[in-house]
Amino acid sequence: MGKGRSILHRGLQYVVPLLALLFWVIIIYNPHFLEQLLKALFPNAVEHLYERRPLALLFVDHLLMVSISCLLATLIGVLLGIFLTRGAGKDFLPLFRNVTSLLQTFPPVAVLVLVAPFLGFGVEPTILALFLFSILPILNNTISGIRSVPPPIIDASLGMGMTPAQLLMRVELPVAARVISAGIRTAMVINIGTATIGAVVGAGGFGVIIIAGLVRNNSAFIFSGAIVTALMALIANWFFLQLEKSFYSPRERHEN
Amino acid sequence: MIEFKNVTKIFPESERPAVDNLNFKAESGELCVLIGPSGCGKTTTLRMVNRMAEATSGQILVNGEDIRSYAKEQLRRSIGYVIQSVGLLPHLQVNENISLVPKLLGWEKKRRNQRADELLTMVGLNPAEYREKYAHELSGGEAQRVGVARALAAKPKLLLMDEPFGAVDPLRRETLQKEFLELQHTLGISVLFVTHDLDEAIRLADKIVLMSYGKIVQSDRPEQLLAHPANEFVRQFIGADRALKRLGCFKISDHLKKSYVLQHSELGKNGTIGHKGTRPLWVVDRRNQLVGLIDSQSNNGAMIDFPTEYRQLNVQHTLKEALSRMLGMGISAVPVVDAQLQLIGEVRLSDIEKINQSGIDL
Repeated sequence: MGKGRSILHRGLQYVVPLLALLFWVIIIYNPHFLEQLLKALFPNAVEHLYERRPLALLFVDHLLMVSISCLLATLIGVLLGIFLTRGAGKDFLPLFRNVTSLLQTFPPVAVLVLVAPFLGFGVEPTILALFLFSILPILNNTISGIRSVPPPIIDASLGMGMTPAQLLMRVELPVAARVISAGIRTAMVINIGTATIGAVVGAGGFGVIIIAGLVRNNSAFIFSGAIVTALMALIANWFFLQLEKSFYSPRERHEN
Repeated sequence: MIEFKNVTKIFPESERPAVDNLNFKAESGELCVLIGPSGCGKTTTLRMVNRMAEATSGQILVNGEDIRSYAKEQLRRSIGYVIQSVGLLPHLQVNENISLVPKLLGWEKKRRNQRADELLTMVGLNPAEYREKYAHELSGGEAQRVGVARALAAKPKLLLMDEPFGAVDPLRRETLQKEFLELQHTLGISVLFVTHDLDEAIRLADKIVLMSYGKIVQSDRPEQLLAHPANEFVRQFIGADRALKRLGCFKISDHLKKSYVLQHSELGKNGTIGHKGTRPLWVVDRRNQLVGLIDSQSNNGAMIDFPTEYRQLNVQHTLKEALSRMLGMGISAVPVVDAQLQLIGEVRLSDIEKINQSGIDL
């Protein structure tokens, strides 16, 4: 019984994301499939498929914005997290926590509007906004991941003659890897959704369809923009979860 | 060999020194136990040897060389380190954990794995079964065995152990202690060992260093410490049963006497033999294994059966264990057997009395 359930459970874990992936590939390669679907859902709409820019190109815009901002945030967040858990950096920990929390309270649209005059319209201000919003989860998870390494493990590692750098690379980061990667995943998923507002300053991406739908009062556009964004977030989340599973998990300790 | 010369440690936040002008020496090959109430500075003393804590003043020599003449990391790699919570790295397999120091020293993978297998066997774990396990798959006792193996990996001459068996349940603790002692004798390494458990100290130590408030109160061989406590503090610390505890320092092998034996087949029909002597007679079967005893004082001179634990006393046990068995059965001697459970002699109450009469301060 228990075993049967766990097989079903594990099966579903793969079935849903794989179906989503399949659906995703089909609509990106052949938008007319999506068009048929939208026609069935919104029979009264004038237009169903946004055709000014192909879906595949909007996807590339979206992916670039999200991955560049996440990559930068990961680099800065993890390095900052490492610095703030070292001897010298510990004093700055409360300061940086406050600053990053404060960043999180800014509405993304406000950030866009504020930085657009300096960085111009387009991709750059969007990447900056997304970057600022990704730092908090990545930094927080890096700090709590490194801090979750039990003190005896650090004591034993140093007592065996590891240098501080070896302690970081061979003990702290591997033990914290899963928590850190969960932070990156959270940031990524939030960013995929938030990146749609980039369309406001002309950054492209799936937000373009949604904005067009709002301007022309076309529900089919809004819906299709939302669904492709959501699917992308779902697939990215699943992909990162698979990656995380290859890292050591502190929870495994309690399983036996 | 370890030597402390006027070593003092003052932690930044505290006024009182954690370790106060410490002077002592442990010879090479010796197992030296640091003991005392919590907060007496024993762990700090231990941690100063591999510079996990830096002495504020004074000098510590390991094998005649100042520990500060090496880089910290280099020093630590040459000294084994075992702590109570083991501290196995959770994301590495058992063999990778054991290979940590060899890896830091740059050994090749093949040599590291070979050494890991060798050590697993040495600490009583089957390499084929254990080498690929993770820490969370091990019991407390198994984890600590791996911890000891890891500390021995790069063949250190000195081992630092901070309450290594403290988290293991009492039954397994005793087994671990015995096996560790054998291992230490075979390898001939020096050990500095911290504990707050006096029984453990008596069982393991060649030398006990008793500390209080950062100072050494008394340092001596266990049987001397128990026989001649230096002051009231020592007396209280070792307890009123010190005469009894002291018996734990003496091995049966040094007090084995010839025994009087009777073949089981020689017994009369009613199980008696008309034995009138005051000494018990051991009854054995054809393979020289114990069957029972005949004591003129009890059971009307008929044979008394032995409970199992009375048939298993061997030369590795202590006089304390022998005395306990005598008291248990109300007899004045107990039989001693070899590994095949064949009778090889006895221990007598009169010899035990002599030990405590000759030189124990009242």
